[in-house]
Amino acid sequence: MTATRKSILVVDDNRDAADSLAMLLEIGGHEVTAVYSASEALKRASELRPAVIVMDLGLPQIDGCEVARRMRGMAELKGVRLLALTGHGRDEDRQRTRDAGFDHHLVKPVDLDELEKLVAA
Amino acid sequence: MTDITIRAPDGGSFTGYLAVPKGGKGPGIVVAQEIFGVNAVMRAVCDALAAEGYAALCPDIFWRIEPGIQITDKTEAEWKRAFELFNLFDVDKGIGDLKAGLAQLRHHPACTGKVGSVGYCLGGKLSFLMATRSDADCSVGYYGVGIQDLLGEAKNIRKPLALHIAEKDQFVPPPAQQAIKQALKGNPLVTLYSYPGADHAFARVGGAHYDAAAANLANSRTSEFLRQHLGG
Repeated sequence: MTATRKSILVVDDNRDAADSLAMLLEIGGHEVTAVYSASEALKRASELRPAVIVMDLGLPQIDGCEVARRMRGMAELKGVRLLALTGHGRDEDRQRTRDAGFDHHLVKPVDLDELEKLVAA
Repeated sequence: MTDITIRAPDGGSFTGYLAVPKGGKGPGIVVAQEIFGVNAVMRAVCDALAAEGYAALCPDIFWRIEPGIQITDKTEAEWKRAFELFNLFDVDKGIGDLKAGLAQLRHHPACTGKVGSVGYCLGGKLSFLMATRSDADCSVGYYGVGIQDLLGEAKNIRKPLALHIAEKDQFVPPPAQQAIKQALKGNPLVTLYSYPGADHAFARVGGAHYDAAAANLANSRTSEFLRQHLGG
């Protein structure tokens, strides 16, 4: 499991959801940090420079898509893989996350096997 | 009703019996087993919770000793084996396994994201520990054994906890019951229910000490508690 160990930032204002997803990814052998707001996400992403960021879109204050746009503008996050996590899976929702700079669009409840594959890729 | 695979925090994996509500989705409950494994009684508990609208998962926490073991309380040999399992069981690793099950259940398609825990006997103690060591949204313990030795952890309780105490519990003597009540009675997150005349495992259907009146009362209190804290 350590061969594909990745540094991951999980962003969700629902703490229980963030913490449990972080735990599942840690069990998968990754190094995971969970944060609960857009501002924390931007700050910690800059500090940690994770390989992957899994972000819930429905964040208060700053929407997840806007956070993604800002992250794409940060030099220290060059090459980061951004995964959007949302309850909506319509074509226009997927277009919106694509336009914001996300690499993948995951619909809740997240398929853990799919998430693992995307993280490890 | 199906078995799912749960990955353990320290490597390896084990199964859990998952009962899903008719509507396909509901709040989750991690059921912590007695000392007989994930047997017919525990599966029936999960099925009953599913009938109430919950996605109930009973992880095989004896998997490190003997995966898939399930015995009954009907023969002396099985009782002997049950106590062997109890003595071999690593509580800390067991809690880690239950927490892994809880995390997985929170993200399961059959779960709303809210997850509580309910446990019996050994599982009653584990539910107390889920209240002190996990982010379970609420926990319920039936006649937990050994809680009196863990009361130092009570300060870590962050979510509602209900304990059903059998006053004639052969495994929880009166001084232990007193210690538990004394330590927890002032905690606004803790609800203690006491059953005069009831022995250990009074709610185990078909068990030697099954007490229908006490069991029905405890189960109705549990239903109300879960509904209140999980929105079932």
